[in-house]
Amino acid sequence: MDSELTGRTADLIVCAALGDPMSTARYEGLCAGSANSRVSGVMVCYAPTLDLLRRAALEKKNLIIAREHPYFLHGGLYYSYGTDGLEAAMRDDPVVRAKREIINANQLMVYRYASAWDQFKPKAQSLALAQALGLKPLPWLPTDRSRGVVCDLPRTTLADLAQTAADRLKAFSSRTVGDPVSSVTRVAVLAGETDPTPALARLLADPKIDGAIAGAGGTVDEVDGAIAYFQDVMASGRKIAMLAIGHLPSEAPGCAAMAKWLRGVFPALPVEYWETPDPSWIPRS
Amino acid sequence: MDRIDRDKSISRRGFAQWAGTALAAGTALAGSAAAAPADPLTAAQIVDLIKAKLAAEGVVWGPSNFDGFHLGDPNVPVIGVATTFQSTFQVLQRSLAARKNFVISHESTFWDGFDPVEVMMKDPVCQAKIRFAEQNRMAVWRIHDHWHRRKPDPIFVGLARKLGWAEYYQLDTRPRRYEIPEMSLQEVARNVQRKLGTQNVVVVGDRNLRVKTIGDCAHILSSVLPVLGTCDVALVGETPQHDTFEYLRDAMSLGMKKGVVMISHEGLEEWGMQACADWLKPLIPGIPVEWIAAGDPFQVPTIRV
Repeated sequence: MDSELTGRTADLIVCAALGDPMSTARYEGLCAGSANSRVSGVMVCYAPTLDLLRRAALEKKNLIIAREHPYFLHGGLYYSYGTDGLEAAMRDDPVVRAKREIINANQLMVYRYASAWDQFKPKAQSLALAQALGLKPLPWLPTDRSRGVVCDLPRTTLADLAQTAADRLKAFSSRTVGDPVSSVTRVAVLAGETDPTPALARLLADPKIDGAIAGAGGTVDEVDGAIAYFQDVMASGRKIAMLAIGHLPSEAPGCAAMAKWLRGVFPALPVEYWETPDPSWIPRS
Repeated sequence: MDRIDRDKSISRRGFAQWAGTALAAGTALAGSAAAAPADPLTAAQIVDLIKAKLAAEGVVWGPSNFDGFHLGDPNVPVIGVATTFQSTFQVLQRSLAARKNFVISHESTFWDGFDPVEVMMKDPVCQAKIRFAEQNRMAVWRIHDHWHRRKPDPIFVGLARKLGWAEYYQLDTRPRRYEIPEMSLQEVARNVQRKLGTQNVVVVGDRNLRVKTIGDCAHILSSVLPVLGTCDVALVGETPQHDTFEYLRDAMSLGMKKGVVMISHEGLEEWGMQACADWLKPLIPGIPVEWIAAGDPFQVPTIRV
């Protein structure tokens, strides 16, 4: 049964809870659907995939809160050069058209609160990733508004951590920068992408950090600048290596954490988190 | 952003002044540079020769946000030239070991396309990299846009050769594409792994997808889309997973028989800078020229799937 809540009022409630008067970030807030539809159920996900939209229509969960954009418009500080062209290319794209039809036919509403969530809880995504991997972050100062967390762990290798990511997060396309058998005892954990480079550099400032666990290599500032920086950190003589487990597996625990938080925001509504499998694979011998 | 001529904007000021640090310029480490021949060419003079040769080939030098001197003194006498995909710290170290003090790089030096070194000037790695170049009298000059403008684009021709698919490469189609003997997507990916000498090949798509056409493209979904519109598979260098992978997932859910094969940025483009070394050698016959591989930055750990 539909609640009295519309998408618009739900948006205002979420934004108030996030301490943000409204979602003004590019490609955030209401991304698809009509804000005037009445909310029949809430689903939280990493990306509002076609399969999840179909399922949401079937299960009458018409308020979809996603980390990523339904029409693949990620945005970002440095990424607009590509995103501008992408937005134009997506207007008549057959995949976008099919998603739009499902959204409109079923009064679905897709809201995105990626940067608003990150501003509200800067470390939420990385904290959730660390905890999902069984790691306990070190305390951080209240003034620390950076995205990453730092964890101490019994000496282990990146390859073992990759196995943990595979077992716990179904991350089967992990890659390393540096030797996979490099051993680590203090790691910087950074969900999502590793850039911008200055932020990565700041996260690695503690010289005791000998490892990094990230999502994707980094694609915001000129393809993969942060990976080149990380290579330079290694070449400067520092013993350090990185495990990149993939963008989706690194962000998914944070999406589940957001769903948990939203249950407190909408106590009268069932809020579900729906997983999506990582679609990528690496040929193995 | 207005395009600039980096060569003029940097070389006229002098790099040390531009960097704004106390790093001492021109203090070569003992034994790091070979005894220079009489009146050796400077890096800036070699750049002028390159620009003239490009112009003769129809690529007239113009403003670029990327191309130009990024590190070191353009007036340094050159004892050897290294071409590379990217002037990483390790590439600089290996270039010096190979007695090449002028590095010609396709990609950036300071980890951002526009190379705003000012952002990272307090970073110890940035400082060490600058100090290394200064103390060893090295210079780094970038050629990105203008190298891509040669016809045919040597970056993608270099990749075709490296893949062993030059005979299948259709340069004149848009987007460019390979028309290969039919094989599965998994076989395509394994072939790419073998030819590039890396396991770092990340795939989205049905392993059994039958593939006859593969289009090459750069690093963003907007460049992948035209390829997917005309080819079975898009071969792309390190691309955002949050859009490209998710787009393909949805396309497959709609029944589209497509795949994406993602290789590293280096794996896509560094072979075109190997060709650059061969292109340079007759231009500066008295100066040794060598391609220094940047190498795939990623390795794939063994896991139980």
